Amino acid sequence: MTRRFISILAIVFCMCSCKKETVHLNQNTNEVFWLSNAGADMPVWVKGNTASHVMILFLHGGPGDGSYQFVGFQTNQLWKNYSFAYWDQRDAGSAAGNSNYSNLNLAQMIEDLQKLVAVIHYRYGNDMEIFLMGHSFGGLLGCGYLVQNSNQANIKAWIEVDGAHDYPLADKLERRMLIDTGTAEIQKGNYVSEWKNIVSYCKKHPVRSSVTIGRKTDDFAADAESYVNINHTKTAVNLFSVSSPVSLGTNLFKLYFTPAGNKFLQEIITASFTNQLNKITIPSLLIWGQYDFTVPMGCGYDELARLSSSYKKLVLMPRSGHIPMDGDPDLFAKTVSDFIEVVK
Amino acid sequence: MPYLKTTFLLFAVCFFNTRTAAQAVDSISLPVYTSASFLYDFPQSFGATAGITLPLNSRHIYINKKGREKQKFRELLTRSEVGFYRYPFNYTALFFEQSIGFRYQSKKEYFYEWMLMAGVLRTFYDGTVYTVSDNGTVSTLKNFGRLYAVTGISTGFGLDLERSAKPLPLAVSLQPSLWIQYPYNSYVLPHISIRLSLQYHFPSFNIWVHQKTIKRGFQS
Repeated sequence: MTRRFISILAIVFCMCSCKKETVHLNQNTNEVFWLSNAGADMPVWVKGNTASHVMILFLHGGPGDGSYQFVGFQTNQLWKNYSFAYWDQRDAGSAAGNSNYSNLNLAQMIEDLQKLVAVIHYRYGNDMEIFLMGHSFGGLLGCGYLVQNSNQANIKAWIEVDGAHDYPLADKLERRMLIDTGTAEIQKGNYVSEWKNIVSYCKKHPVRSSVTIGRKTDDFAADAESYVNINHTKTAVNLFSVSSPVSLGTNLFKLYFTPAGNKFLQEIITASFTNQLNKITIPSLLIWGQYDFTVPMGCGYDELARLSSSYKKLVLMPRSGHIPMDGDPDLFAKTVSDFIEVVK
Repeated sequence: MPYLKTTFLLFAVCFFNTRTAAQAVDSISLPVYTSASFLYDFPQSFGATAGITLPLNSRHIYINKKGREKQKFRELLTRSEVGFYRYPFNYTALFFEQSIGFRYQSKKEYFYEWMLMAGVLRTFYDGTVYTVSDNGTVSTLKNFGRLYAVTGISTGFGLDLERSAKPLPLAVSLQPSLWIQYPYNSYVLPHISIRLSLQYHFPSFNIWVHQKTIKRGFQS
């Protein structure tokens, strides 16, 4: 009797441990799963309507910023009809791990993304249509993923938001826009001393020859948005209600002030997928803030001209800088929604 | 010249003898406190701890300052704690910490303490953890998380009700702390935490420790 009981218990235990987790698709999904790969554990927060069988996989910028800060008013209008997967890339946001610096590079991050797409299809079913959305650095990562192997077969469409598919081009256009806008604003008498400082720095440092120069120029680009009256609705309370400033600050400090972080930043200074963009054939939507100084809209026009997609579109956000989901949240949501309805 | 130093020391002993401190060593029975704390780790994590605090030795200092007598106590403590905190949509952490430090107290019920801490922390991620092999096979990792070392410093401000007018075997304290978790992404992750701690002294749960009695400012 005892032996039989133990056998039944063992069989039940084996059945439970071998059973694939049942994931229920529903209209109000709010759950987290993790991808552990090459020394890094990366969280993915899924929000919204997974029953729609449409998932927007968000690739955050930075690098190092994390995606949880976009779980909020910037993207929540889309949760009713679609779902979002907010992924923290390795060494970013809340991603954790022990000793994983040797794997902090773009090629590894592209591999992470390949594996994440496999996990999403495993977890939510192969009929889950993935719309890849890359913002800023996420644009570089997304392009890098799409031009490799047959990765496009797993993705329904590409949405790039102020993405930097070509860092040297973005850098060149950033300086040009800062100098041109600065010169015009000085003539108009707006924020004269601030603009003079920016213009002078950009002229003195014509190329992003180091991480420090790049960071300083990007800081000026962010400041410039406020000098042309771009409103930022994102507040510290919004930001830190869902993401930790401690881990965010630690990740950014690590990137900028440690040799391994600097090595990675130095690698992406010259990163470009411009010559491979013609490989992208899936429907593509490019969304750009008209006043984005960091990755100016010239990058969007360049990409639009090079994509081989049968359906491609560039939409400018009139009140936005580098983060259109913050500057024009309603128009952003409508543009994305219209695109998904056309191509799904 | 060689006598100058001796002369100076004799002079000091003769004229400043009222400043010297008398010392005596005794044994004393001190309470062992068990504690439970509510933990808040900035900015989003809540948790709890349980622990035990043992006194290792004690100093009872009598001070005579211009005819006014004061008493101070300094206890060397060690504390063992287990606890957890939860970071929503992220992970739950279990930890064990061992601390050592001093508690300072006057005759009144208020006390101040500071402690150095070292321990281990294990994270358990929210939700399923997946891994994908090079051939594309997806599998799940059970109870997956990471093991970290932790080190930090904490202070405490509290009220020892055993020293109040109506003694109770209780103490409450507020303990801010700064600690680091490592190696976190090949680096360290700093934490800022605060604990609201309730300590209870079971009757007769005491241990004997050495107490040094020091008198300062008294005529020898």
